[in-house]
Amino acid sequence: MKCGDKVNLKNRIRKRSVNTRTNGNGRDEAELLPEKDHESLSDSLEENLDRIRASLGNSWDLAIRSIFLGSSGDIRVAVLHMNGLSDNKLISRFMESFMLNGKEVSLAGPGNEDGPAHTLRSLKDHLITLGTVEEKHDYKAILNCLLSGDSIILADRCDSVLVAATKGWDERGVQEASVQTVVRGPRESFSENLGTNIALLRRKIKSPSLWVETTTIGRITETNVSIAYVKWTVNEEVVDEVRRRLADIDIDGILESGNIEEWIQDKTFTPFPTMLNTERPDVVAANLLEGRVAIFVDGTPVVLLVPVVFMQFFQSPEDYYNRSDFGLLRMLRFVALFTTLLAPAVFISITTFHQEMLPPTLMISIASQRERVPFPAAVEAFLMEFTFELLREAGIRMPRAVGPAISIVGALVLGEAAVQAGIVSSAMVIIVSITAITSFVFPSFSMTIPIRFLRFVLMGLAAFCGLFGVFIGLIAINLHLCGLYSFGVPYMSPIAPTILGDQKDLFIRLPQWMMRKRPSFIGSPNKTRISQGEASSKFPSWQGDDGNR
Amino acid sequence: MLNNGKIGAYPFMVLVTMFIVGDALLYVPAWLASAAKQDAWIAALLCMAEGALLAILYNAVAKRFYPATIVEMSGIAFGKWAGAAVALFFIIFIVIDISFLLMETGDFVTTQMMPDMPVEVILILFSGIAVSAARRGVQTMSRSAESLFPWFVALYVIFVLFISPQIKLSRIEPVFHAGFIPVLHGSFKYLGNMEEVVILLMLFPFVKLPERGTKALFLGVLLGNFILSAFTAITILVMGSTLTTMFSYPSYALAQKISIGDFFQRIEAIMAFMWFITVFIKIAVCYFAASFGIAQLLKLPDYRIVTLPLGMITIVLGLQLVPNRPYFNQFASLFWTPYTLTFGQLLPLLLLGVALLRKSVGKEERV
Repeated sequence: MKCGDKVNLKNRIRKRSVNTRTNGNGRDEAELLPEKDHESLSDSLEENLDRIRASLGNSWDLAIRSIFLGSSGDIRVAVLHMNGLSDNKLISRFMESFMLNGKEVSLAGPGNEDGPAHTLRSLKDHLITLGTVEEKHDYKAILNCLLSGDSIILADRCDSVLVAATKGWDERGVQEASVQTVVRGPRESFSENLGTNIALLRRKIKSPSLWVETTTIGRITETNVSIAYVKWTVNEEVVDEVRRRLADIDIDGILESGNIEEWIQDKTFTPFPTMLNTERPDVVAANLLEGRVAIFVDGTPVVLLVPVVFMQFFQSPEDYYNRSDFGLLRMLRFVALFTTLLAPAVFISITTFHQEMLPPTLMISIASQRERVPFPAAVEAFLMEFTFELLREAGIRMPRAVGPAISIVGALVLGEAAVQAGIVSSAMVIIVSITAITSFVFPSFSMTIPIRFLRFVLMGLAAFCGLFGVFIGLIAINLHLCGLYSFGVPYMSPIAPTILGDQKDLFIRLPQWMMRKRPSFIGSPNKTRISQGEASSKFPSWQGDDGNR
Repeated sequence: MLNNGKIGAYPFMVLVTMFIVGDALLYVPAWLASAAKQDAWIAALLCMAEGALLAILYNAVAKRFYPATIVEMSGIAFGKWAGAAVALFFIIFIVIDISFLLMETGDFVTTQMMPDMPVEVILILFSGIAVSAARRGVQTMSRSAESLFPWFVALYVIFVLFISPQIKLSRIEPVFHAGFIPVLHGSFKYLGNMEEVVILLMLFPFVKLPERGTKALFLGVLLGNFILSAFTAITILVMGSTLTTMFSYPSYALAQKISIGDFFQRIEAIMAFMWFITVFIKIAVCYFAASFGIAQLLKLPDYRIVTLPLGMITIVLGLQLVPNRPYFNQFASLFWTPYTLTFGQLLPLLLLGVALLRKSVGKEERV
């Protein structure tokens, strides 16, 4: 795949720059850990504890509890965990078991064949009252487990440790979706925990063909990243491509799925998102059923979906839950798209270049408003649009408590007073308000950002050469969109290339039973969504049997 | 997946249709009416038949030599040097065509839409996006055409619907008032536009299945001609032949007459979008054909390096070739059709003749 190669090259270039940076500072993570740290542990408990303490730089959240077990109390055992990452209840439960039955642990097994290793085995087999306990040798893996919240149990004269799964920390539970809200449909949204998120998805798709693969990305953060897909519907090529691009990422930290998105997107220099992000499990489930791949990142509720097309950013999950209205609401969204993109640009070009397009009365009304305004329409528009963007940005960043202050400043000072003072015309205030309202219509927030940006570009072109400039801008946007790909799928499909079968769910949404096929541009190997038999029994025979009653 | 550089039959048909409609939409009614008067619509229908015949000829050539472009074809048919000379003249033909198309756009915008705008600005902007379309390749170009086509159709239908209340059938009477000769004369002027379709043979090798491609070319020519004929008929029906002849851009004048309920009026600037869309596609296709042809002729590894210089050349060439509007009108109505006949009629016939005479020629190229 051509675009894949490009990504590969991009990553290679980036890798080189990352390497030079770390070498320059001399603080690569590999250098922080001495060479021997990749090897196994030593025999001495004290030495091992010192080594772990040294590796963590005597961090205060490392908790070490030493106890003595065995019939004569001569077997020294240490339990290590990180404060706050581990569930204290679980730890105290098996500590309790140690205290009560510790005397039964013997140094050597029957026949003395194993020596110290037997200590651990008897601990594991008889004393630890937990679901998952593993024996580990590799020092790096042990540290990793400790730092992810597991407890480490070391015993004297043992060069291996037990890892007990005691992960447990305070987290935000599953809450109502706050960004992508719906009137009808499930309320729950993803949380920050990867395990919870996958579980939320599995509760929607109970089939064994929902496969989840997990890798670790980020040399320092070691973030778990999972890709999920439905084996039955997914295009293997896409999965391979996702795996390959994820494997190419070489960075010190992944904190949010946005970090991943930037590394694996097809084209960097585009304002348009080529990956869909969502916080809703039902959206992820529906997309997986259509054959897409989901990328979960530990620590964020935002899940990425690939491959996506432009039109998907205008589809709300609710379109599928409400009765099919044959797309009236979707049409509204497309009208909003063009309004928010074009309203100020068209206003500028009509008032500056093409006054003849306005009916005389309207033109006189606008002209009389603009009489007092000292600026040309373009300056006025830029001023107001810029102010609105500032207000919107301030609305996101400001502390909650000052919210009312901002709205008063925005509505009264900038709207009312600016018109009163004769700085802007009220027609321009109306245009800016329409632009503002329509820009909030889109179900996907990531699509509003390019549209906000392009609105200013089009305003500039309109101020420069009127409707002709607007036309040039629109064609340029169209060309750019037509040249984009999302994981090998043309971004404008199914419009260009035209795929009539997939247009059933585009500007309009046909009733569910009419959409028998999955979208073909994704390349799902199993195209049929609805088996023929079920579809034909859509109209039961008792329909219209009034005469028989 | 769909990323293999080839295009399907439907996108090709859209390209052909929009190519034919191209710049013709704006002034073809005037040309036809100037010769055939109120029988302009008959002349347009006649052209549809001519177009169909031409499409059959082009299809025969394209299929015979698939997957060769015109430049490669002339190399195959006429040998190395003669072929290169023919190809060179063909490319010059495309470049001149681009210059005229650009100047038409520039003239139109500066005389009708924005009189204060220097024509150079319009030329640079318009050739800028057309060149950038050509640089993105056939696939992106065809996708762009596909996504713009519904907009074009919507604008066209709105136009026709809104103007239809002003239709008066008496304006085309009497039919055949001066016999058949003026009709032929009118269609001859229009033929020059149709012959330009030969440029699309540069794109034909990019069609995935040649059999369906030929069908697409034929249908595209018919559809494009239908759009133009219907438009000519409506122009005559609304404005009458005398008025149509007087305007240099009769369809723009027609759009100015639209008035729905005394509110929805003077929307000609929006209607101009319809024409911009098709002329943009036409120029972009021509840019691609010219630069791809130059790259093939000079055996360049990538045609993209030619596109930008070509864009600059065509702007200057356009400014030099067309000093003023009357000159252009004179040139277009007197010389353009004979000039295009050389490449649109003679060249394909020669290619086909050589291929038929030397039976092996072109055969091995078929897949």
